[in-house]
Amino acid sequence: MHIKKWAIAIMTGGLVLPFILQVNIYPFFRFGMFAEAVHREIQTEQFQIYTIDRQGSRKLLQPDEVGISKSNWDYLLRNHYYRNENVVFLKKLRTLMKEPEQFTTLQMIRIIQSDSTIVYNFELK
Amino acid sequence: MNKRLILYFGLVLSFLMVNLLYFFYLRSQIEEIYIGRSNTWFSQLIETVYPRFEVEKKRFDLDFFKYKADQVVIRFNVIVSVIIGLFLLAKRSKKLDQFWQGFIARQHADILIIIFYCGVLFYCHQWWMDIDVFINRSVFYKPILLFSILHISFPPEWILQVAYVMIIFASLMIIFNIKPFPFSVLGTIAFIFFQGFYYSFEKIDHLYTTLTYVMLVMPFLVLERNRGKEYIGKWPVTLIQLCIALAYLFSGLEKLFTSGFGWASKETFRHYIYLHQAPIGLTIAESDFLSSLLPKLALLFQLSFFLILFLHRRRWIFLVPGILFHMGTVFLLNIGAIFTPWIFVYIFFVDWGILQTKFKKIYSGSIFSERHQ
Repeated sequence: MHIKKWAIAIMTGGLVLPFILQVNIYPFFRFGMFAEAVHREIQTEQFQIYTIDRQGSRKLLQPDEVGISKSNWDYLLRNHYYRNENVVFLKKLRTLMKEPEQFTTLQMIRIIQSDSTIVYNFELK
Repeated sequence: MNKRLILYFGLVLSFLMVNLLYFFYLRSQIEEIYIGRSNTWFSQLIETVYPRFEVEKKRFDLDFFKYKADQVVIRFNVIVSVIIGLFLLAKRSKKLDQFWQGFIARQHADILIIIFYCGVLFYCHQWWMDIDVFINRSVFYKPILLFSILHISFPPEWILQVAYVMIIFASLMIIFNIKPFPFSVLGTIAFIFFQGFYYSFEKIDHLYTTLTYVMLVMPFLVLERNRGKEYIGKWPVTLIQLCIALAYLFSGLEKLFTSGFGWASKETFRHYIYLHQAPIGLTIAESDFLSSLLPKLALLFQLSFFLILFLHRRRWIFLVPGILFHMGTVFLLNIGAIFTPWIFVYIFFVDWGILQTKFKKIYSGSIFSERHQ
C-alpha cells in the first residue's frame, strides 16, 4: 500500500514540478518547446557557421558534416554565443571536422530577421 | 487527527508561505540577480535549477524574467488550488474517489508488459549507433541536472555499451518472464542513464518523454502482476494513463500560461512552419483558414486529452485525434517520427481483455462456420 502511495506521489509530483518551475528536471520534462508566441525579434535569431578555404571560397557548414543534429546545433551555437564562448565553440568544432586543414577560417554568423552579422572569424592554423 | 485535514492544512500553509516569501522578499531579488549583484542562496538556487538563465539573461530584458518568476508563483497557486479542489470533489464524486481503485485481469497486464517491452526493443535497438555519436561530440558534453548532481562526467565507451546491453537484455528477460521485477528496475535505470546522454548536449527534446514516464512506472506494474493471481490492482495502469494525460495537459497549459490564446494565432503557427521548412507545412501555411484553425485544434486536443481518464468507452475520441496530431507534427513541422513513442504508449488505453474476447469470438466463429461448410 505504501509503495502505491509513494509511486503515485513521486510520479505526479515529478510531472507537476517542471510545469511550476518551468525547467526540465530529468527524467521529468517541461513542455516549453513551441510554447512561445513569436512577438520578439530576438526569437527569430539564428546562427550559422561558414568555412573559408585557401581559395577564399565560402561554404555553409552543415551540422551533419560534424555529426551533430540540426536542432542540437542551433542550441549549441546560441548558447556558446551568449556565454561569450565563440572561440571555445569554434575550437571544439575544429576537432570534429574531418579535414580541417583544407580550410583557413571558420566564420560564425548571427542572423536576426534578414540582418546578418559576422560574430567571429576563427583562423585555423 | 484526520490525515486529510493535515493535508489540507499543509497545502494551505505552503500556499501562504510561498506567496508571502515571494512577494515580500524573492521578487525584489530577481532584479539583483539579473544585474549580477546578488550572491545569496537564492541566486545559487537559480543557477542550479535554471542553468539557461546565464544565456537567456543576455537575450531577454528584465521584464521577461519578472514575468517568468511571477509565473512560478501563479502556477504553484493554480496547482495547489486544483489539488484542494480535487480532494473536496473526491468526497462527493464516487468516480474520483475510486480513481485509484479497481482491478484488471492478470492476462491484460501480461499482454501490456509484453507489448511494451517489445516496443522498448524497437525504439532502443538503434541506440547502439548513437554511442559513437555521443563519443564524437563529447567535447560539447554539458551534463543535465541529474548528472550534475550525481557528478557523472562523460563516461568511457564501454559504460555506454553496458547500459545499452542492459536495456536490451532486461527487456528480453521481462518478455520471457524471467525474473521480471529485478530486470524491470534494472532496465529502467539503464534507460534513464543512457537517455540522459541524449540531453547532455544543451538540448532536451520530447520524443521519448511518455515512453520514459511509462518506463518509470513499469516496475510497479510488473510487481503488481507478479503478486496477483487472476486479477491484479489496476493502479499502475491508471498511473501510466495519468502520466500520459498530464503530459498533454501540461503541454497545452504551458502554451496558455506562456503566451495566452495568442499562441494559437496564425502568425505564430506560420513562424514555426517557416522555421522547419517542411514542404506540406509550407503549403498549409498559404491558407489563412488552415493556419488559423490547426493551432486552435492542437491546443484544444492537448487541453482536453485528460478527459480520456473518465470516458472509458469513448477513448477513441481522444486517441484518433492524438494520432492525427502527432502525424501533423511530422508532416507539417518535420518534428518527431511516424512511429512515435507518443502514439505507441496509447496501448495503455486499449482494453486488451475485450479485444481478446472479440478475437476469440471471431476465431471460434470462423472455426464453427468452417465445420458446417
